[in-house]
Formats: sequence, structure tokens, C-alpha cells
Amino acid sequence: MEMRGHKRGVLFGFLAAGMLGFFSLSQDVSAHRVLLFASQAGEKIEGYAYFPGGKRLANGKVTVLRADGGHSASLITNAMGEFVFEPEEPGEYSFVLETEDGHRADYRVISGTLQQSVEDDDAHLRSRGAEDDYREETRQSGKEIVAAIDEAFVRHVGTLRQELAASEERVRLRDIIGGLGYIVGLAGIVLYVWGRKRAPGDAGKKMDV
Amino acid sequence: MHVADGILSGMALTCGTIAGIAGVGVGLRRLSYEDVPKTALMAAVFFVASLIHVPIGPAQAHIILTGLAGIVLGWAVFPALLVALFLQALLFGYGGVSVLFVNTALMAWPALACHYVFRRLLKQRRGRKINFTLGALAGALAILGSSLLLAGVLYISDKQFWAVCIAVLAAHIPVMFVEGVVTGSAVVFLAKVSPEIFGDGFRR
Repeated sequence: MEMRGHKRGVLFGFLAAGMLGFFSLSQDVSAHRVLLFASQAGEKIEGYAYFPGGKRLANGKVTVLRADGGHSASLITNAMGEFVFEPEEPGEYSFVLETEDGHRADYRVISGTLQQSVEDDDAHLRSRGAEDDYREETRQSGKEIVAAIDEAFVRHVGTLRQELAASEERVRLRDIIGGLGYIVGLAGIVLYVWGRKRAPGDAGKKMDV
Repeated sequence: MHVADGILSGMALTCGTIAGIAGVGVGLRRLSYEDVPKTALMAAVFFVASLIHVPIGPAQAHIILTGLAGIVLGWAVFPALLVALFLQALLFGYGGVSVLFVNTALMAWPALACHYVFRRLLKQRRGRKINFTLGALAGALAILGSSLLLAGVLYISDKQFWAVCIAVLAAHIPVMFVEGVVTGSAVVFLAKVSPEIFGDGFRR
């Protein structure tokens, strides 16, 4: 009778755990992980720190590192969890966030815009002696067009990247079920292997590790 | 509560890993065949409970139920939490794999302490209110213990101890409150539907 009650309790416990898992899908999840997102916005790099689920992290300390690992800047996120960085030169920058309670996140951005590409082309043209008034006027209007395209591109693609990052960080039902399945499976394997070794009089015997 | 990769210094990582491996070793050694199902059960409960948050004003509390796991499992809480933390690191990215044993030690040692303090105090004859109070204390103190251990390992990693301690404890005060309520409720519920989960001493 006691064993049946015990098995009922264990089965109920697994069902409760599964229900908790379903319930958790509708909840914001924080305090176990912190995340960073950053993207090019014109001449600057803008980003924010957040928890899975979307809640922002205010007053977070973000360290900016250059591609060679050298320190570039130290930033603090504002009340909305946002930060802004103005790179001195194009290149790859790593943003590293560390919290006081042991969480860490990093995100890498390669800065450089269409504008920069146009300026590089300009420098190449000048080096070939191709500058004249007509070309200069064309180049200036071209720069304005490129700047507008760049801004629109960053605005739309940046939104998509944010949504993609948030989607990838979301806890999924299949992961919860998979985790529970691994636990049940592991317990089953232990019981099977151990049960085969047990003699009828081995009740309560400890694992031989 | 989960420490990420790359945070701890070599000394903190070494000490925490040794503490975790020692606990897991003893836990496996003391694990009996009959305890495997409830060990798996508590691992599953811990695995999903960590995903739930309860908003309290501007803060959020996340239950982990290590106090309950400690009361029910004793030393077996180490392998249970190890498996659950490994799956959380793998599937959700909570904590790091390199600090797996450190995270296990942070949560399991206070849980084990709750087992030795509260398990013998829990008796069916004491009634629901006292058992609820004992369970609530176990839940809250397990979180407090884990917070202090977390502050300790961060201190060993060359962080400023008092600032870290205050930050960690402040962040976990809402957690302690919610954890206490949930653990106390769970203890009362289990005492009613499955008292044998607390062992033979519960009914005496």
C-alpha cells in the first residue's frame, strides 16, 4: 500500500513538473541569464541589455573591447537598459556585460557602413586623380542617398535582428519536454541497470560507486 | 543564482568544483535503488521550477525549490541538481558548463543543511501550520545559504565582498519570500498526499 502511494506521489510529481513547464512558457524569465544586443545605427553602435523575455537591465556595466582585445570604453546602461557607443574607427567591437551576481553576456558588432564604403571608394578615386567639380557634386548627393539608405536599412534590419535574437533566447516547449525526457530516461536507465544487478534481498542497498 | 562561464577566478572555480564533486560523490554513494524515482522527480521539479517567475513590485522572484529538494532527498540532492543544472545549461543557457559543479555546490550544500535541520522536525502530528512554517523556513534559508555562498565565490574571484554580498542578498530577498511560501505549501501538500516521501520518521 505504501509503495503504491509512493508511486502515485512520484507520478503526480512528474505531472506537476510538466504542468509547471507549460505554465512557465507564458512567463518572462530572468535572474538566470542576462543578454546583450547591439547594432550599427549610423555612426554609432546602439544596444541594450535584457533578460530572456524582454525585461531590460538598468545600470549594467558594459565593457567595449576592440578586435585585438584591448579596452575601448566602459558604458553603463540607462533606465531602459540601453547604451550607445561611438567607435573611433571602423572594425570589430565586442560588448561584454558582467553583473555583480555572476551573470555574463557578450555581443560582437562589426562597425562600418555603406557611407564608409563610399568614402573608401572616394579615396581610391582621388588617388587616381579623378576629382573634378561635377564628380564632387555627384558624390555629395550620392552620399546623402547612401546615408538615407543606410539609416533605413539599419532601422528595418535592426528590428529583424532584435526579434531574431529574442526568438532564439526564448525558452521553448520542446526544450522543456526534452529536458524532462532526459531526466526520466536517465532514471530509467539507472533503475534498469541497477535492477539487473540486484538480488531479491538487496532492498535499501546503496549504489556501488 | 546561476553563475556563468568566465566569471570566476581559477581559485574560486577550483574550490567550487571540488565542493561540488565531493557532494555528488557522496550523494551517489548514498543513493539507494528506492530513492532513484524521487531523485529524478525532484530533479524534474527543480528543472522546470527555475523557469517560473513571480513579479513582486519592481522585482521578480524565481523559485528553485532547493529547500524542498534537500528535505526530501538529503545527499541525493547533489546528483539531482547536477543533472538538472546540466540540462538547463545545455538547453536554456542558464549558467555555464565549466562551472557546473560550482553551481551544484552553491545550491546543494544549503539544501543538504536544510535536510539535516528540518527533516527531523517535520512530523505529521505537528499539524499543517507548523509544517508549513518549517517548510517555509527551509525554503527561505536554502536561498539565503546559496546567496551567501555565491557572494563568497565572487569574493574569492576578486570582487568587492560587501558590495557583492549586499547586491546578491538584496536581489534574493523577494526570492526568499516566494520560495518560503511555495516550499511551505508544497510540504503541507506532500504531507497529505504522499507522506512517505519524507521517510518513516514523518509519521512517528
